[in-house]
Amino acid sequence: MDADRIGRTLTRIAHEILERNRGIEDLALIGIRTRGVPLARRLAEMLRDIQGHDVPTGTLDITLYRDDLMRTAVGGQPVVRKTEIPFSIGDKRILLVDDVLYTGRTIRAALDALIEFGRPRAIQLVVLVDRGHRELPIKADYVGKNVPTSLTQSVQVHLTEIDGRDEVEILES
Amino acid sequence: MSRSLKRLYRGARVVDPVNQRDGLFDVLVEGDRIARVGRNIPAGGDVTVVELAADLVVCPGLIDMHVHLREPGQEHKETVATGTAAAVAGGFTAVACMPNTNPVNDNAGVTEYILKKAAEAGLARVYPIGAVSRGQQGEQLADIAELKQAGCVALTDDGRPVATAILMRRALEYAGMFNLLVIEHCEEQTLKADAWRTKVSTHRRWA
Amino acid sequence: MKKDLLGIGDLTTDEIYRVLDTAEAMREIGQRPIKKVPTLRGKTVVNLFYEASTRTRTSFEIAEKRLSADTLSIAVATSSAQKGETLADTALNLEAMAPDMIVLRHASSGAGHLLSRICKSRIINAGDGMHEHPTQALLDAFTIREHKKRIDGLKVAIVGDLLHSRVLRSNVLLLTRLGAEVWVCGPATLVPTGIEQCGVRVSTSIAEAVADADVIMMLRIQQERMQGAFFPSLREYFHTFGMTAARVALARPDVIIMHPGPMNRGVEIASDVADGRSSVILEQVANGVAVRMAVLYLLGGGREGD
Repeated sequence: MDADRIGRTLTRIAHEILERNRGIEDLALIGIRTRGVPLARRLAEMLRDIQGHDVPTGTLDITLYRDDLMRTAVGGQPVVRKTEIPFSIGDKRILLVDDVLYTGRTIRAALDALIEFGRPRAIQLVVLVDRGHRELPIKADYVGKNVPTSLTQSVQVHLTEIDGRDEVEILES
Repeated sequence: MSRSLKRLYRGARVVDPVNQRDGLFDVLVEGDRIARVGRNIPAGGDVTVVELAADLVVCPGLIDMHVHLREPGQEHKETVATGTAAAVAGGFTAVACMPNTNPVNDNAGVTEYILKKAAEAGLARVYPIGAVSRGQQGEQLADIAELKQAGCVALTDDGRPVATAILMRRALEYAGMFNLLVIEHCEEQTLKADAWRTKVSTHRRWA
Repeated sequence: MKKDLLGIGDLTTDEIYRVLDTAEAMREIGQRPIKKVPTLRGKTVVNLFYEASTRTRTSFEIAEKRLSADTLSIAVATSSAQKGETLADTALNLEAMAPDMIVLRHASSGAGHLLSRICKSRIINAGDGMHEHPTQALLDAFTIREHKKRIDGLKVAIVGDLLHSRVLRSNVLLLTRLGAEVWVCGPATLVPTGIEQCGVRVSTSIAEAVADADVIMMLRIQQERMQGAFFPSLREYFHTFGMTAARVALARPDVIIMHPGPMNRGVEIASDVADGRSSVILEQVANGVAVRMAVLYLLGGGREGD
């Protein structure tokens, strides 16, 4: 996917969100670190442009909830960053945003993390790319693009805010 | 003393180590200053000439580094007034007094008391030496910073030696911060009792 | 990263920054309604404290519980050591029950090293004799960085009983490594011989030490030191070395005042300074939990050879 395609895809998702959720007042966006965060912010801006309403946005780091921690040598722990959810999630409909949906384990960890913050009315999942190969029963509610891949391939999402450009690449490992 | 009062002292031996003088010199004093020291200084009209006997000595005021003024606490033996009077009578214009008073000079209160008494007497200058240890008991350090601030010029447990090596070490380290000397009373307590007998046998060995 | 954290020397400079960065993320967990993450779930952590401590032990316990570890605190006064068991035997007995991590505080310098040779568990030194207290230095550095945004180039004055302080040693090692200009100050009787060789400036004048300082760190004075004739009295100590508002005024206007606790008000620090606007003492305590969570996380919680 190139920058143009990414832009149009996000616009389409924003409209889909509005279509499926009657009323925007109790919506909130939470981006999963790292690249889910700028995607969530872009969606928030688009929703504001369309509806004139500010959707609260937060950042979630799921490292501490991963199921593959503490099995590595000392010091091999992944870097933990800050979670910032500056609003109450109770009774909100949360839109979890991530760049790539793969095994589903990241989303499982994100759900565990979110529950600690309160009891939302609903959680919906937004992803830019779904590359298949689920290992858990997780499904996205809004998908940018379905990209069938083999296990030897990897999907790299680049976003301007982090990598200086907008692009989705498929690489052979 | 008025500034105009001039006196010429003649005839005595002048001992002045700083200026390397030891001999018969004339000393001209104007008011409270020594104006000249030399030979055959002419006496002007307004100068009173004082003839001194040849066996007298003219010298800078002497300083006694180790006196016991016994005040506070033992005024039946001595006071600051009597002690400084005795001092000046013997040519000592300054004395340093030991802290083994009662109470011991281990705090600003006693130091200031001594200085006050010295000022009242108006005779010799008094330089208090403070205690090394509280009460001179040889256990805890005295409030040394406070003693320095009150006017002590050195520290000692005189009357006795500093009780232990570790106390001496701490005292030297601590007092060093304030540039205070530690003066030791050098006496080995455990040999005191047999002193005369030890001395006699040593003498015999050397004879 | 080494398996144990026994002293600051066990961490590379990069690892030190990793601890500080991770602690930032950990701090947020303490602000949630449910202060827990599942990271150390199923790991057993033993807090083995041979010296009384409320502050440090509580801090470690809370950190461990927030990471969902199974924690267990042993205050040795009530345990088998009182019956004459040696540290080595206690360690062997514990090792037989295979804890994942042991947090040790002991009156002998080097106790953690002994434990490390016997136990496969990760060992964290919570204070050994007069040697080191690495998590304290890390939380101090974290607090400094919070306020000053950096550590290199800062003038840090550490005042107090330098001779007996393990907090001093860990802080000196950490702060000089990160490039701070460290001054240590205390009565001449409490200055360790040769401390200049650690790259610090030594002064017995508090005015000189705190002049234009960015950070002032006070160390605790123990009453027992008066018995050892290290200084005459608490009153005189306060008069000569106590942190008063007048002395704080000699430092930079944005100076921060720190103290590892517990404080002796009116001895090493005046009450108005301890409670004043420059004091970050209570923040240190809060940061302690976050920093210890970071250390527990980074050491991995697993046993050697797993």
